[in-house]
Amino acid sequence: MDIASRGSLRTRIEGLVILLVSLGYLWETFNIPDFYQLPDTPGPKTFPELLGIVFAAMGLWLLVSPRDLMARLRARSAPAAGTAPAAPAAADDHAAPTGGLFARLGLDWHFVALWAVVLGYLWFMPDVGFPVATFVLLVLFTMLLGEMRWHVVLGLSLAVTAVVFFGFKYGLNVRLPWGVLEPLVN
Amino acid sequence: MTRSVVLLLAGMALAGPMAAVPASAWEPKGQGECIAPANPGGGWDITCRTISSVLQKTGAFKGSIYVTNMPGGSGAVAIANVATKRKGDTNLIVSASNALTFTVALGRTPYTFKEVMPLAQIGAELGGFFVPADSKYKTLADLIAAMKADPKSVTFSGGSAPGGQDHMKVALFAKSIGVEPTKAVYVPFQGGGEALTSMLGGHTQVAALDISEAAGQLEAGKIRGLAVLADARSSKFPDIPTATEQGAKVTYVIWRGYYMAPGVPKEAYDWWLETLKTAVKSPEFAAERDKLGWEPITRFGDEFATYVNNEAAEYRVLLKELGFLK
Amino acid sequence: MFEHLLNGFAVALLPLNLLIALAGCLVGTLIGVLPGLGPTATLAMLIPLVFSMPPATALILLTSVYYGSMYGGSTTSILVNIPGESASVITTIDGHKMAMQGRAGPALAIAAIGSFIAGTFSVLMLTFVGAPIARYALLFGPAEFFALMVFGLCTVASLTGTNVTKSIISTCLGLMIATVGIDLVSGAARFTFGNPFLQDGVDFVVVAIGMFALTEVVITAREVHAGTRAQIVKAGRVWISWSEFVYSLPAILRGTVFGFVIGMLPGAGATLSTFIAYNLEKRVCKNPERLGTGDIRGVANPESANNAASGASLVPLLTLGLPGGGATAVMLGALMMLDITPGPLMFEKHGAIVWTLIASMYVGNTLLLLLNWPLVNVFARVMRIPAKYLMPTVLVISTIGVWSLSYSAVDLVLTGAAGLLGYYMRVHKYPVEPLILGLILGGRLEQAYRQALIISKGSNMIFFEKPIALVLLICAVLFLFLPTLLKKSQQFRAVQESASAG
Repeated sequence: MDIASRGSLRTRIEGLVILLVSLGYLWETFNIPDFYQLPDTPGPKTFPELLGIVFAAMGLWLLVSPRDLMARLRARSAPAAGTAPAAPAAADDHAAPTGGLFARLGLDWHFVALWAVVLGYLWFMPDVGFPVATFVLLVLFTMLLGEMRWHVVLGLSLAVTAVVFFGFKYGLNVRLPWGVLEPLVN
Repeated sequence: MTRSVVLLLAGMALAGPMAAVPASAWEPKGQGECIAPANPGGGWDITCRTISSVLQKTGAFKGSIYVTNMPGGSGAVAIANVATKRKGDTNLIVSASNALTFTVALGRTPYTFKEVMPLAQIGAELGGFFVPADSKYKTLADLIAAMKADPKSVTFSGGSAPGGQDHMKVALFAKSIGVEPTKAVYVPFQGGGEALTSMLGGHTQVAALDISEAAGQLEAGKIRGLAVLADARSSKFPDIPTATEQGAKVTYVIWRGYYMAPGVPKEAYDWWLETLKTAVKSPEFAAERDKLGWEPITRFGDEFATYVNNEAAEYRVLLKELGFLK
Repeated sequence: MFEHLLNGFAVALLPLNLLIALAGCLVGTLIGVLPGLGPTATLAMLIPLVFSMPPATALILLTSVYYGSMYGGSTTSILVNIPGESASVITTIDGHKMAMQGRAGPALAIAAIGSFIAGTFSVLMLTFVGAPIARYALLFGPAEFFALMVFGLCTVASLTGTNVTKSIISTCLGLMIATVGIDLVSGAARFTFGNPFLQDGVDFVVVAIGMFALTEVVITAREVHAGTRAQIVKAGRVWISWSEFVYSLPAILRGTVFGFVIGMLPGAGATLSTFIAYNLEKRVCKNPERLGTGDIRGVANPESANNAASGASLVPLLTLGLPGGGATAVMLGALMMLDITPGPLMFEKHGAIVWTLIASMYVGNTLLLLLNWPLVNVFARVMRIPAKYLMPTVLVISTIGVWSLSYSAVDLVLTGAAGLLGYYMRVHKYPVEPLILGLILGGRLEQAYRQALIISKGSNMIFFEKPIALVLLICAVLFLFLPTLLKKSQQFRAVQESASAG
């Protein structure tokens, strides 16, 4: 698969996703309740409907816009992409893919691990509690960033967790949850 | 937060009876909060800021009470937030008025006064119609004539959503002079402040406001009150005639009060009740009340809760009558 | 009037008040630096102190904290590419690039200088010509506001992106996110799926932390892992040079004027003014291609606009008693606590306090500049912390910023989603700024549109009959298509030249 067709394929997929999102959005406008409205003036549905239609049109355009146009656009932006110091993900995107599907999508274990750690933190923090979740996050994330010395990782994570937790909770009155540590403090 | 508060409450519920502490010994700890469900400058905002300042000046509240503005949906955003996210928050009061009753009566929120804890009414206020000082409407009679000739020729602005309390002033007025209420043109703004600005700028012609919202501009002579919608004139601006005097039988008195989040323990609720009862008798509050042009009408606790629940039922009937509710 | 102002200064310059102002600026800056904790949160925390003080001192504390936290917001934009508040989104574009090039010091310094010039300008205007110019705010009704916001969106959509299609998609997405929650006009719940946590809508901080903080942290981690992270150039000079100042002065002045003019309209606010000022700057300045690559003017301009706008929003409040948004909410609260009902008679009835407030605004601006001389040095050192230690901490503090909004787990999940979307958009060159502006303006845009149509009884002609609205809309359309037209004409010329050469 050469670079050009990849870019084009991605544009088509983006178009499809945008179209689907806009259809879902438009579908949801049916669930907006009707309240009294001065006759002939836009109600709560008008604006979302308008937005949904414009968004759908944009998706449709990406999906079916003529191929030669895409090629021209690519030709114009290709030199720019070549000279810029490419970020790894961006580089993956433009380089010819090697390996399996995983790599072709620009994914590798590091990328997946990063997002898993970040999203996991956001998901579990309210229940697990701030101190434990934050400590785990800091340990994992620091290691993903290449710091492998255990004493540094643990020491730093503990220190940052403690300073941030107590600083925000008692200094700035942010209600941070103790979570699983609750039984210990009460 | 919910977890720690729940634990805290559980702890208090246990410790309360065991330690045999009298209910009146309950004292709020830390900062208090008053949520004003509108932007600054409107009636709800003023209601919050007044009590915050009185309670702190009289020393009734030891910490401070800060005001949070939470506009949206004529109180719907705030009541949803308080009923779901702030359960059992002993330091929180939320300002309210008839406007919230309309939001409830119209079903614009799944929550009603039964899902929160109505606390007290600390005053009442008169609504009215206001125009720029140089408006072509000199008296209410001019406005009535214009409305009768063509209801759509007059544009009203107000600080509540359609079907809310400022719109209701317009609708009741239209009904009283024999004009189809749904034909009156009403432009909703986020709070009385914005409605007033729009009227001063000439984008709308008449502002349907509460007197406190118009007080600053009235004193400066920038705007004129066409009428107050009450049986008697305002104690602060006695120059403005009532609508009844000018041939339109409309009365619309606005109560101003507070509700608390659901699940607040009785000691805390009673503390607020007693504190407010004392506060409204204080000279500090009297000074504020005079400044705002409020009338001294109060209701507390159960009496207040019954009153607002009945009011919601009455408004539902009224809204159907006027054609705003199917 | 001079006598009143001098009396105000006499109070504001008392040693105790000066000390309070200095402390306020410092605390404000330090808290404002934390992402998600902006001026409003900072002031709410300080209100307990205010009651134990004489009124004048209390006002001085509040103004200085306010100025400090407004300035603090730009610091994170520059250092770690995370805007602390919506008004410093634009500052990230050039500010962070400057920091990566080892010029964090000059970027922070010009932000301080720009803020000082703009802040002082708006106070001067307030002092001398406040009442007459405040009348201009009244010219803007719903139709005019709608046109202004459309103009703002179009200038942004037409400039920031690699192509207009992507910008429009991004803008649309922002406006769509803005429709989530209870409709401000009718009270109807929209796109909440029955979830009460979505009724308040999606906060700017949620999206901004997702799209800027998470994305930045992950991208940095990828770069560190792949070994492609650009070496941060060793910091050169910490303060700016005279020539840099002269170079950015026109941008500061233009930013100040645009910021003031737009900020004075109630509710339009500082954010819109930064977006418009930056994009207009790009059209009128010399060497516009440098903007966006780490040009110092790209920091000077929006930072001036933002400060001029927050100062300007006080003009209608203090002179005409018209409350707006942003800074006015804070000041309104402070004044009401001190028994001052805002209204046209404020100067007559409470002259002494109002003039002290104005004097304290001059003092606050000046102190902030003096304070930043040493602070810039401290903040610029943040760039020396290795990314592997800095980035995880930034992630944690950003999460707290989201959490502190309403302690809602839904907000955290949305932040994660915004992070993934932001990452995709950044990697595939979809501009994020139009989305952010769409999100911020969406609610007001729709509201103004519907108000205008109620006033006109449903006729869209209202936007063409009002001269201000018409001019703004024409400009908006021009801005949207101008880049394409210019490009076309350049291509045409190039073809002609090659034809004549051949």
